[in-house]
Amino acid sequence: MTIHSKAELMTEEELFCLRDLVSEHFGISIKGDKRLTLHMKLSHRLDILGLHSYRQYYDYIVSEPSREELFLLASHLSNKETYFFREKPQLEVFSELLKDMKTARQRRQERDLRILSLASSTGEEAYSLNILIQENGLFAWDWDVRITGMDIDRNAINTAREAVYSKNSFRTLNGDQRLLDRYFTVEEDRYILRRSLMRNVDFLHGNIMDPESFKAIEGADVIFCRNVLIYMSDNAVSKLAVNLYNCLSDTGYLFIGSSESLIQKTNLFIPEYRNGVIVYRKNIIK
Amino acid sequence: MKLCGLDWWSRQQAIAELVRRPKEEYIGHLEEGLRNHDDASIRNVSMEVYCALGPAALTSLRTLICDDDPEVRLFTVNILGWIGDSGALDILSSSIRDPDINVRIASAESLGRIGDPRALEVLESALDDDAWVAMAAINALGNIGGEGSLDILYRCLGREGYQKITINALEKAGNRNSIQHLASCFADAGLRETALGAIVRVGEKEGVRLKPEYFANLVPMLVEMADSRDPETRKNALTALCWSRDITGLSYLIEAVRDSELQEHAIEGLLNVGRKAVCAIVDEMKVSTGSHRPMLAKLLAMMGENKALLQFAADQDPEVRSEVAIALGSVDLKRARTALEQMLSDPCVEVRHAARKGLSVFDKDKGLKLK
Repeated sequence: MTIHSKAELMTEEELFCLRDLVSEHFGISIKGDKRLTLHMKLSHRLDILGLHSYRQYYDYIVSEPSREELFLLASHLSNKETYFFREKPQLEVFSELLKDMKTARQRRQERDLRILSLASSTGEEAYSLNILIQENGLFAWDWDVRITGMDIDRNAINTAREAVYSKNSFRTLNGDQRLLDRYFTVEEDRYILRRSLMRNVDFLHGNIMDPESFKAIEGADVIFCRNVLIYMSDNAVSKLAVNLYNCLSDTGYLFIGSSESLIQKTNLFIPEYRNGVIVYRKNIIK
Repeated sequence: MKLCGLDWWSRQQAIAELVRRPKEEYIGHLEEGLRNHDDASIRNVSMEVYCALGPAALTSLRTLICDDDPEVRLFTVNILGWIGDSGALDILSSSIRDPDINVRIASAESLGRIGDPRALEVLESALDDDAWVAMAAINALGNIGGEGSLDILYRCLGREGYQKITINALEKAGNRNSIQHLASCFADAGLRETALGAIVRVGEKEGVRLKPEYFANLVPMLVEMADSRDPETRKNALTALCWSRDITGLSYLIEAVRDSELQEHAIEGLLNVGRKAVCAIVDEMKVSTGSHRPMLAKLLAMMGENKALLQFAADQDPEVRSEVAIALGSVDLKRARTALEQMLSDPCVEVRHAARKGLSVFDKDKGLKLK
């Protein structure tokens, strides 16, 4: 089948409407003429809703009070690719920081640790962090460690809560069978996370661009918000930085993707170099 | 020159005020300023004022182009290019034969900036000058563009040592007819990547699907370049493969669906290849994991291969199942209906909705026939 014109599937005006919608609400930046890609990702929504054009779909989204379809739109356009122990050098720095955090907390006679995994998708990052904490052994006794994942995609959240994965989620494990044996039960081609690792991890449905989504979370000790900024405009990154700033504790650490940067995009964070990895700290304005 | 001591912003305002006054009041100072060897800032300000004067400066510049000092002549031709007025064509047409090579190079560049096709003949004659002048002329031809420029540039592609800069010029000025000329450079391994980049840029700029015939002989080389270590070359090769509709590059096209930067071209390429791509897409869906699979499912549906999707009714990915459910609505098999009924109790709400939709289409179109 040859598509003679992209306009047969989606007009330029429809592209601009949808592009502006996801940019405004989610900071997702769609660059260039991606009409075929959008059609691939969204056409089933038109089928399900019985709509005949993307203009109708746009009108449906903006007129729907529950905003469920708006979230569905964003979830279909966002990148869900993730896997366990992604970007290992950053995770090694995270493990190192755990020692500092424990010392600091003991000094203040506090025994809790709050970690946030934003754009958590199907939960691989959140559980990777929990595995690292378990491996580290520093928070074994009488500590309240909580890891919260947040994503716009309800399906991804459901998958994260089930914590059953395929081989694709372990693509960088390089056959580290020890970790798999220790933390997963393998049934045919399914890798089931041990339930003990799920108790202190929860997942919230939310939009990282919306301050309301962070209402229940304050004073996170560590925030992971990786491989999100690459899909955003500078303006959206600045907005997101405010949410991250307000949510992170004054002594906390922010990790973004290794190919991403906040330098020259916001003055709310200061980069700190640790073993070749950039970690961001809050720029405390006194 | 009081203007020299001012910051950029204040200077621009002062220059704007100055050029509103009769130029006879200050033109002598400008000419002297341009001849000033001792203070570069005075020269720079003079040049800024000349540019702000625009075509009104041409009379004075005609005098300066005859100056004995080659530097003054060089600044003059630069100013003429920045002003960009076609009234300077005759001045630059003479200065391109100046005894000083830098003046000749700058004259060619300025003719390119002005962009008037009447300069083509002069620029073509400069191609026989020193190599640097010839390269400046080729670059200028790229800036001027149009059929006349392109004809000269196509001939330049055959000139030893000038091919790369000509390809760059064609990247700027080329149209769809330039593709076959650029493709001829593929024979030279040292030019291949530059030529490919130019082909892709021209194709994207033209905003039309380039004919697959353009790439017919290039596919083996494109496949080779799709394995390049250079990401830009890889991207260009895949983009051209997508246009080629050739099944040799099928595995690369399918792989490119995973890459958000290449996705759009890859989808278009696979749709262009059409049914010949079906087996490879089905195989990829069977063995791979990843977020590109729902798009592959949609591609199969768009190719009318809805029956092939039946085997993915119990896929692990709910987005694939949703696509399958929609597609099964138009599959004339009882097994399709059974699969849809099972999908009504899918754990994912979107799949259930898709199954309900699929069933309603199925029953409307074929239900009676099956009963």
